[in-house]
Amino acid sequence: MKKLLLAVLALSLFTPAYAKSDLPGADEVMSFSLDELVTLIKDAGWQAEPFNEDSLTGVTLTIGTRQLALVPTACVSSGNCKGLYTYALIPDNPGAADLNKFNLSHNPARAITQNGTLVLDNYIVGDYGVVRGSLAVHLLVQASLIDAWWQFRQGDKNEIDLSKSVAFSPLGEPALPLGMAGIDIKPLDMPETHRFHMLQVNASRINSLD
Amino acid sequence: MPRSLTALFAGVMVLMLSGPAAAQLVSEPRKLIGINFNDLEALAVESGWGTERITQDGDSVLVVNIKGRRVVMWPRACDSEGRCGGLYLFSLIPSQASSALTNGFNVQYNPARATLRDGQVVLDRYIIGDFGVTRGGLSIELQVQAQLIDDWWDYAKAHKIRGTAVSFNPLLEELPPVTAVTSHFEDLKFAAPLLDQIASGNGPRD
Repeated sequence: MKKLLLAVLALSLFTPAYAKSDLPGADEVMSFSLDELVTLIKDAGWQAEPFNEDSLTGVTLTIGTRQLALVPTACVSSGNCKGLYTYALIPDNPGAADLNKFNLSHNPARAITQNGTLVLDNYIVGDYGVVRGSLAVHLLVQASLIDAWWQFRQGDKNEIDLSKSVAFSPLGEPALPLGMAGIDIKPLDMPETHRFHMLQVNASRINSLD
Repeated sequence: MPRSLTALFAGVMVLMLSGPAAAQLVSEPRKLIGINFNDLEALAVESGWGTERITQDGDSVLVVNIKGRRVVMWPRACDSEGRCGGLYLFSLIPSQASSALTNGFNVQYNPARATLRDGQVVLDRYIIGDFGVTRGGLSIELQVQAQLIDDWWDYAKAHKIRGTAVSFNPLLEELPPVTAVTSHFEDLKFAAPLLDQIASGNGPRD
């Protein structure tokens, strides 16, 4: 229980620090569209690569060296989507006990395994819009959880310092080339090259957001 | 597509449906509210849900009764004026389980986050709200959390998981995250009847 609470505390510390950025946080995103997502990502100083292939649309977000896929869902019309599915693929295949342990100690993580690959995902309800700043914080937390995973796996007893992550500067690694990406809401169905790329950049390396 | 993936995305589809399909119970669903007890309580009351504020040792949670299911709202990251940056939702489920089963549930019922804490199944979710949340969005989050309790029992039935007594093993000092917001997170030691109260209603439907 203490670990969970520490994780909540970390999150608590994390968010106000982020709020000091120049991001116009109080504006609303009324629905999830690629344009909205890309604009928000760039305003936050991150990298965005939209993709649209085989009727699948989404954005790969790069924060530091970590990558997430953002896939709008529940679309009522083109560019008017009410949900956002975010996920990161991690090249690891933990057992159920470790998944449970990580989820316990790293709220709000949702770690699951799919066909031997770890997926860190989340779903954002946006039927009535979301607040821009809160969405940005959410994305940053999701990216930070990749590092948290590796720290957890390496057995480091020290809690990851999420508060440091807010001052990250992108390391300039090339963003995922999304022109040919086939990211769907089915993470593991990504083309092998892109899947490999995401797995590669999300492989074990600690504090890459610093 | 592999069966497990199908299950995962069936779960996503469930959520996609649950969003728009969740009843719009509140007026001004697009209105932004801060995370504070007054706004949370007003939203719950307007939705027709029973509420109960539980305060102990200076910290409070709001227990919401949604069609017999109990979801606890616990504002987090609060400043001295009671404005909070996050909202932690959790439900206690009096059910037997294992890590493998909670993981299986999470795969099948996206966006569920079921964990096993000291033998206790907890369904929880953290809502980031540094810049506020919309009333309608929060209403959906609460309805989805309540629905996931029923989903758990559907899943439990399919996996022959048995329920436990509502008065689950009272490892009081270890039980879920109802704590002070202070730096060291001293757990509130809820008395057993209070924990029972939070869990009551979350057992299998008759």
